[in-house]
Amino acid sequence: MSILSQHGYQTESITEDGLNKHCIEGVILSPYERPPDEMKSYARNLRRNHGKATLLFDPHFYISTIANPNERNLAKYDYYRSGLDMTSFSPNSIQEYVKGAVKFQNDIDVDLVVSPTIMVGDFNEYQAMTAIQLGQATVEHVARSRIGKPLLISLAFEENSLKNFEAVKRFLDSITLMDVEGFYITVRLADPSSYPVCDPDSLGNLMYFTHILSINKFKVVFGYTDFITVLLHACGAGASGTGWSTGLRHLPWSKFDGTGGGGGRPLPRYSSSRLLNSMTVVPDLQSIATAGCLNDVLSGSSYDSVLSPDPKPDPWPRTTSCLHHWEVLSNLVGQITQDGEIEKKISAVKKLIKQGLSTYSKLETNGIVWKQPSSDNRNLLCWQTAIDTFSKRLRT
Amino acid sequence: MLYIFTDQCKIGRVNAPVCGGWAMLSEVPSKESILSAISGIDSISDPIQGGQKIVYPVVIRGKKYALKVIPLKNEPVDDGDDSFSISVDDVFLRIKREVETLDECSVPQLVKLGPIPMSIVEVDDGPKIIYAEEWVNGRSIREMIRIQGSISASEVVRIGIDVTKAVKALWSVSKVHRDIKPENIIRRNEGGFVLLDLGFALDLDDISLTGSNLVCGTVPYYSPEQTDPANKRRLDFRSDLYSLGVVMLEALTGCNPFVSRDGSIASTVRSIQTMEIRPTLDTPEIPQSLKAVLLRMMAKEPHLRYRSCDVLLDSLNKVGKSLAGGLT
Repeated sequence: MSILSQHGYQTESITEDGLNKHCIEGVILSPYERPPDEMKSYARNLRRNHGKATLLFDPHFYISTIANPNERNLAKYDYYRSGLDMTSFSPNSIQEYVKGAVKFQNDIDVDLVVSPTIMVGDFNEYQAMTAIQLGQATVEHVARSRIGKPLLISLAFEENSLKNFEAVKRFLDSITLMDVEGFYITVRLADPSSYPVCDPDSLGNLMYFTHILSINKFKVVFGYTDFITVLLHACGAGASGTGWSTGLRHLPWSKFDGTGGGGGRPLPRYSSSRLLNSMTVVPDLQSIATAGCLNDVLSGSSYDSVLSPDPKPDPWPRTTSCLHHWEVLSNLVGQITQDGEIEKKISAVKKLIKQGLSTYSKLETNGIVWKQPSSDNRNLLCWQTAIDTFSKRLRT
Repeated sequence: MLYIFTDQCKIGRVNAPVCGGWAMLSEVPSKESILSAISGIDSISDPIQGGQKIVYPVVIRGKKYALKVIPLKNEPVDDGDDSFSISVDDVFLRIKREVETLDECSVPQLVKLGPIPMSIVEVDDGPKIIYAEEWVNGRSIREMIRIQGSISASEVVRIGIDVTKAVKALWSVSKVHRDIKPENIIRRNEGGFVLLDLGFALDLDDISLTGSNLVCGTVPYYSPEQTDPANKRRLDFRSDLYSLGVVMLEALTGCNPFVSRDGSIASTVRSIQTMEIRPTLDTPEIPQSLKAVLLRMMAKEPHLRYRSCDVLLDSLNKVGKSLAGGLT
């Protein structure tokens, strides 16, 4: 496993292409996107056509505690419950949620079972204990019912919860005792409007979190990621899900809690391995080409030829954009995970960041102004600080 | 007045007997009293000190056993500001738990129970808890270090493997030993090591038998999390693996790196919590492969240690194989 398709709205054919072209190795299925019967037949087709693909199913149970959520297809799943609060997690009800979520996954023949979980806002709060109870109940249920499939404990937490390092460590003390294959982790950004920039200390602590699970020989899979997966793989993550749109590259909470607007169709974007970021094809990539710097940002993927020498949005439909994105991430992850030692992997990422920042400088010198702030270099500066935090954590 | 021993756990201002103890020599029952109170004993030898109990070497049906005798009485404790007592019930429950644990964990790395089950008998006009355990012929790691100065790397790996198996057996019934130290590990004359004295074992599935402010064990072998009484219910087998790491390091080098020169408990605790252990391991007595394992065992945070006893056993077995001459 390395890069997985994060299942989104009408992304099935892109996933098929990605699997055929081997730029992804599996799929994280989403019950939000498809009703149960369609999900079953989709999973069956994937299994039939792509026998080697890894199939996971994110139960999206964390949406169950949102008041008045946008659940789309979730309510059609037997295991799912709407409008839960912290009083809804008695030992008996936890058993019930777990049993249903595992049964559905067993029915669709996933490769790894993912436990249901709730969103944790603070590792010192009751939600963290409930998340552990849901995980532990799944461990016991899977063992009791002899499912025979490896289990990933699902963890969903808010970015801010990662700020408290002492609490993070205590949480790690608890979960590293679990007898499971690994963990499936999703993080809700504190400020999605500043995506892909996040709080560097929280990111440093997430790197520590990942590293600890990895050295304890747990498989670590992240859901809803973007270029950040490069950093997480350097710390020991084994796989991550990502997709075509921004809503599949970080947890789209505003979509789930109904606060996000519909928005227009996203502009076609190009993922640059040189910048460790993506940018709009028009006008960003086009203006870079005009400035004579196209070769500085091209990723060298098998799709680059359609853009060079003159990028236009037309030949860059969402399928191409997504396949290119997966290929770029897959190559980057392959590049930095060649060496098994953490120091060398982090050093490789630092080199990529340095190269990215240098390219950003060159583009700035050539008058490039980004259409969207998310395309600028702030995420790399954030990564640099996060690496410092991570290194400090490791030393102490 | 001659004091034989009172088992104490000491940290900060807490200085309290944790179990029924023998205050004075005159209170120790004579061999004759024991023989008249308990039937089936072929012969009995002079008592010896053994942790919280008085231990009488006895022969039953031709086989040697350790007969353990514990007084059952309330123990007043003066803790400065507060006085409290360790009740008869506490003592009884503690011993009962220890015996039940031994009964549940039948691995050669823990002692086996003998033919006299736990019971309360009247000896010298006072109630005593008695039970028999297998007699372990051998020498403690403490004695080995005293005599030899240090222990070879291959034998230390064997200590690690055997005690880890004992810790694993205890953890399988949700118990944490909490007092792994050189005195409590015996090398059997016939080979292999055995972990003794479950008197402080913590049952995470049951009520606490020590006061909330009491920290049990022996300070220089505490894990960092063990130094904080608030963590008591959070302890798990990884705390025992840490203590085992300290024992292994002491066996290799002949000294415990955390014991302060001034002998103060506070500075020992501070060392446990903050001292970087890596430089202590940079010594020719410790092969590189074993150093890596010890570093992991003695990491300050539980999540940085081994996630299971089996993973540690794998690592120790690999180290054992890599050492010239293999395991002893």
